[in-house]
Amino acid sequence: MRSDVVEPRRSSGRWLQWRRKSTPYLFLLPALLIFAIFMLYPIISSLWLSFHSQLNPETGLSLDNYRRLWNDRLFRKALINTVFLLLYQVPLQLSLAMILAVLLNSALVKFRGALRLVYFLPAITALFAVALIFRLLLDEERGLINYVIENLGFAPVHWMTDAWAAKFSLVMAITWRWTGYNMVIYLAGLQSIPYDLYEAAELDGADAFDRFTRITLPLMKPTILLTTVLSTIGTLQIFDEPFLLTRNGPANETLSMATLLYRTAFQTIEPNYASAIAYAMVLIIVVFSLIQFRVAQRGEDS
Amino acid sequence: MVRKMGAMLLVVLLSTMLLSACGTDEATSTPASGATDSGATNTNSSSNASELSGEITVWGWNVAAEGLKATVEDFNKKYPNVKVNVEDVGRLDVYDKLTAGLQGGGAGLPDVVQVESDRMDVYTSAFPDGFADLTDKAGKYKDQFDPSKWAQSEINGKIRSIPWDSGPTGLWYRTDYFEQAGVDPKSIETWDDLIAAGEKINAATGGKVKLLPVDIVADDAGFRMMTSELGVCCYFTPEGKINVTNKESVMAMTKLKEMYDKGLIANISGWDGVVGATKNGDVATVPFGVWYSGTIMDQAPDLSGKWDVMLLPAFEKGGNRAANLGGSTLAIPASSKNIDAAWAFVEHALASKEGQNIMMEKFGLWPSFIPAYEADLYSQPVAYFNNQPIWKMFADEVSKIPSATYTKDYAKGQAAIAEAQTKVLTQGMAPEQALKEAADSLANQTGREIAQ
Repeated sequence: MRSDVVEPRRSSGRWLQWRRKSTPYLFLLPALLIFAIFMLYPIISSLWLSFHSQLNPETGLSLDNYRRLWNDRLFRKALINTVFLLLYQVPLQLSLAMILAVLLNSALVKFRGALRLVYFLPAITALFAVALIFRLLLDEERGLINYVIENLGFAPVHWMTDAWAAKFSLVMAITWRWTGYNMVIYLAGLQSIPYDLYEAAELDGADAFDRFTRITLPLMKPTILLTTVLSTIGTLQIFDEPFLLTRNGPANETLSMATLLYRTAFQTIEPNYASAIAYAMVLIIVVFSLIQFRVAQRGEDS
Repeated sequence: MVRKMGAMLLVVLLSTMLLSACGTDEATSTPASGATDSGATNTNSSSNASELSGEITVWGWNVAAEGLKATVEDFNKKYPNVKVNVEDVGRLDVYDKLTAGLQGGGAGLPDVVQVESDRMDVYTSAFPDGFADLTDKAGKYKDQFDPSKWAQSEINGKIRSIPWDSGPTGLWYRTDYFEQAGVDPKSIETWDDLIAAGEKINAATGGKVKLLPVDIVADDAGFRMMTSELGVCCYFTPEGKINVTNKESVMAMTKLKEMYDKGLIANISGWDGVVGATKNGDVATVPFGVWYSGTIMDQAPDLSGKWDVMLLPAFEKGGNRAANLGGSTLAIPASSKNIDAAWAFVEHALASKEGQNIMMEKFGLWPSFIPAYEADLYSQPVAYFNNQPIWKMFADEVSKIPSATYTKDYAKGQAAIAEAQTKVLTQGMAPEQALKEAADSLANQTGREIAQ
């Protein structure tokens, strides 16, 4: 320390000032470097790749990949599947999460700590194990679920070969995994609502339903917006469940944009075209997120 | 306004960051289990056995990896200073890591890697110099390898991998189920005979045992064996046109549909599903390549004596019953720091009788190296398989397998046919219609013409 104090005497005031100003950036440098190497560089290099066609390499910089994407039936199918999943997955999992959060926040339920843990556990379970267990449960020949259904006297369900059943399997697996995660976020939000508001409302004669719709929901709006945007981005990028559980089947009925991207990049080895798919996904996600912000904002203004 | 802009920026940043995690893997990802450090590098290019030293890593899967491990002992007698690590990475993982590694200029790749013959074109077209050019080293062996396999390894006049095993197909069957249903296996000549036998077995076992396993959603192996038998494998003509709407392909798909409609197909998922059905006795037969013998013996030792094998049935009496499914090669990524040691290992395993036959005897990996057939084991009975000399059947079959066409779009063809198979079997679509849709989809994805 002492020598540090002596040192500045030699250097000019400008040097000192520069040093003071640059210190925070120096501390940031390692993180920025890592970001640049592992994030920025791939982002830019895949943008570059996406403008180079592998089918016609001699064209140089071209829009071929995007033109192909526009006419690609597989991509269209993947997009429809993903948006479809989004439309019922996000509302389902978020409303379930909200119900659970309100229940677990109330003083009436016992073992709240244990229950919270139980609902959150799926979110931190290894995905491969989850998919494997769901696959075993839903197996058409020897699965437990079909065994139960058959013993109840119903026809077995073709979980993996029937389009709707496969989509339903996906919804089940995703809901199971992500409800608890959103529930925890909601719980945190609920706990930040001052209790006096509820007391006052109760004195004014508001019943439980009114208290929920007039106090809880409006005050939870930022949290709900956050989870909606996160779940939307997550669902638009859904990969693990369709890849591991339904394996994009039957007949691409559960093909998602991300699994198509993976298939294109790794199985048919067209990284350039896969990059174009990635950028299309970014664009779609941005559009969806902006719509959500817009809707939320309009609600605020009125 | 400022808030709005901030929100917008946040969304853009958030989504790009999240996306880049999966969007650009192919550009930078380095497989977790890096294995490039080959230790001491052999700078001396002379192939003097005792001078060759260092450490090499080899990637393969299942019995193939086991087979390679079995060759290491003899290899080390010749090359005591080369340490060999054979890693069973798993089939799909090998391909994913290989793609990522080649894209990354060889980062994280092993010194020797298993690649199925039908996938070679996929890799060599995307990465023309990704695998080392072995022409100078391996050229002298050309006449000693199965010509059809050699052709798949020779790309634009350069040898990019060494043929390993072939996949002459057989119909593996349970002798006890056939007996129980009173069906004589020798009476089966056509697929129709087999379907009739399947119905009898299914009835005799109270509906418990189905005829054969099919991974309806994801794998078209049955279709590929049938089209190989009919001489129109795999998805494209030698001229490069899409070839899935021909009458043979329709015949194959129709036969699969007939089996499914009669309740004879066990719908399994993935490799584990086939192995499970084999072990648990859910199916009476499994049509697969000769390499499946190793898996049956390995996974179901308690069923010794109850499995036997015959040729695949033909589509008409007296028709061709020879087909091929699978078969691999060994390639050396050009990034290997010890290509000489890697080559020495490949040469010992694949271009020597000892290497090939140890893998054949223990794991049923059918050699592409012709001199290996001189060994006695090919005429000897195999205790596990009903004490029959089953290798003789495959030896006779190999020369009758119709030629097949493999292209860089092979993986796309597989996905398109798996989709068609799902539509035909489970959604009741007519085979002609589903295959036409597959052809259209392939045209859309590859820009190729559809053969008339």
